[in-house]
Amino acid sequence: MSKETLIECKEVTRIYKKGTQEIRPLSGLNLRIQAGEFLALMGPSGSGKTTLLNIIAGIDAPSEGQLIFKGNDISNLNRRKLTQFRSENIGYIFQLYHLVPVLTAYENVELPLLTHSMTAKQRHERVAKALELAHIADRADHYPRQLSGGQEQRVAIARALVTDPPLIVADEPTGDLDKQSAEAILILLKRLCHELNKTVVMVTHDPQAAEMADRTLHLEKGVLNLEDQHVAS
Amino acid sequence: MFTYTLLNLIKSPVRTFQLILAATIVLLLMLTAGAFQEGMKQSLSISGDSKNVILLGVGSEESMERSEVPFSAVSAAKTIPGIEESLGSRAVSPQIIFNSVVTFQGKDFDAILRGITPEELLVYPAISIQEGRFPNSGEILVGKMAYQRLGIPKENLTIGSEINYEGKTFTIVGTFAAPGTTLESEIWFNLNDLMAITQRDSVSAIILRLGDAEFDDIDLFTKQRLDLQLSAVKESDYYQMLDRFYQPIQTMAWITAILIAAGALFGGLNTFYAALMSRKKEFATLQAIGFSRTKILMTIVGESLFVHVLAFLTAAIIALYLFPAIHVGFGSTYFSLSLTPSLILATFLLAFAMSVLVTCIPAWHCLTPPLNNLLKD
Ligand SMILES: Nc1ncnc2c1ncn2[C@@H]1O[C@H](COP(=O)(O)OP(=O)(O)O)[C@@H](O)[C@H]1O
Ligand SMILES: [Mg+2]
Repeated sequence: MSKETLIECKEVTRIYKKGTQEIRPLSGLNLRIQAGEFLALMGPSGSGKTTLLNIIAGIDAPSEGQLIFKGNDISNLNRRKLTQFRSENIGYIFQLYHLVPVLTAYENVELPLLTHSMTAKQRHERVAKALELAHIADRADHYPRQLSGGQEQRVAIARALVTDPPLIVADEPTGDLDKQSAEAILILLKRLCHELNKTVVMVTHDPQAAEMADRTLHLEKGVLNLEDQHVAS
Repeated sequence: MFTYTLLNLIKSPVRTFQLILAATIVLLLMLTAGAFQEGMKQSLSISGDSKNVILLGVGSEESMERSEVPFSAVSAAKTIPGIEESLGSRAVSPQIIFNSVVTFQGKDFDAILRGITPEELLVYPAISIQEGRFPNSGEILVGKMAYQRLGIPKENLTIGSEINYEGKTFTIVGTFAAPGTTLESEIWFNLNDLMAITQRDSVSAIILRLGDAEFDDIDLFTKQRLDLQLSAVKESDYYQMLDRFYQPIQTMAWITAILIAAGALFGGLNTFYAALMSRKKEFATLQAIGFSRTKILMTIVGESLFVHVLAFLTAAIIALYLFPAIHVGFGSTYFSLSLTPSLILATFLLAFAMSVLVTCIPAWHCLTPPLNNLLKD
């Protein structure tokens, strides 16, 4: 497995202003994520997990500090550049799947490819492959409302995979699923990480989910609790 | 992306129908008010011949229908020097005009009746008898568009047909054209017939066509013949006055249309707002997976544009079919709602502007906040 660094957070601080009040969900956070690693982020509610994940995914930007992605500082990119960054580098998996209700599973997976220049044939190949990898090819023509939660999340995973991004982020991807579906999704994520050499960063509440990761980080009041780190063998 | 736009509209047909309906109402009301104004403007556009002067009864300068001029004024007016003359006849045309009910094939119709003499054709050179001849007693001449005003098929109102008025039967002996004027929707009787039926010994007005004489000469005549109680009005002034008289009606038409349209527009705004706000998360997701805000905005506006173009086409088709059949009559003005190319173009531009307007606020709420907030809400 490669040991090169994909992401580096340097003294990342995020401050939200609510009127005169300042909320600081992240403060001076340092973190290195290796390419190909499956990282779990744990911590109590409100500890800044989503905030960190969004900064890593180029959805939010740090107020102070730097975010280095493949050696480039992306913390000062404007909104347009960040969008392009996401389109090329990030696959995002949401807790509540966020599929477009009027589109079939196939069309949902195809959607991110529309921001890339490729032929319809190339798109078709990519979508078919992503659906295959997510084990949901048999539901390609179904609409989200015709799918179970676990199946919807598989479609969402296929959508995250289809552009072949180096980084996949997932915010509590199993948070809304029953135990069985959750386990299947976690196995899928782990396989993607190891077989396709994707880097996966996953926020979770569930210690059992975290067990599946290569490494688990605990966030507490915006800083990493290093004593509590668990690294899978 | 294009199919995605359409899918959202197809997915909720009821909502899409509501959106189209609201926009159609707005556009149709604007078309109606515009066509009403246009139709009225055209009907008043006889706008008077600058060479014509109308003699009216003192105190009735504003309405030919209400005016009374003693019949003896006709021969007196013929003595004014400088009146246009043709084939030995002086262009002095006494007439009676009023609104009344005629019976045709057993049904009653509201019509404008005018009693005239052959001199009418001298004061209005633009009028021509298209078919047939000038009516003698017991005969009538119908305007080319009279069938429309009566709301009967054109072929029913032809030479040889009969119309009853006040228990007497009149035979159509000709049709006349008076391009671009409301005269074309009138029924013309022989002046003597109408005077006899209505038991009048006066006429409504006398129209004179000036030759070498000036308006002032006619005005002077009315002052010299105070016994006749006449007032001279330039025909162009008379119609301008009518136009001013109808101005408040046009304004009222616009205000009414705008008030109702504002209601419909507000309804449309509301539906659009709700429809787009319910997809706020969806738009945020699109941003998260790499769609630029410009692209998302284009699909939002695209959907709206599609709805509004459909609404425009619906409104335009309804207007094209319905408006020519809608007739409005006020006193002596009579017209149908008139669609002009510029009115249709203006309505299309309005549809375009509306399509952008209704998406502004929801698009702002869906696209401008920081992406992390949009994904969280
Ligand atoms: N956009 C925001 N504006 C203001 N406060 C925010 C915003 N996002 C998160 N917060 C606050 O920051 C803290 C951490 O939030 P979050 O990262 O969502 O926590 P977690 O995902 O660990 O539950 C919370 O107190 C939350 O209320
Ligand atoms: Mg969270």
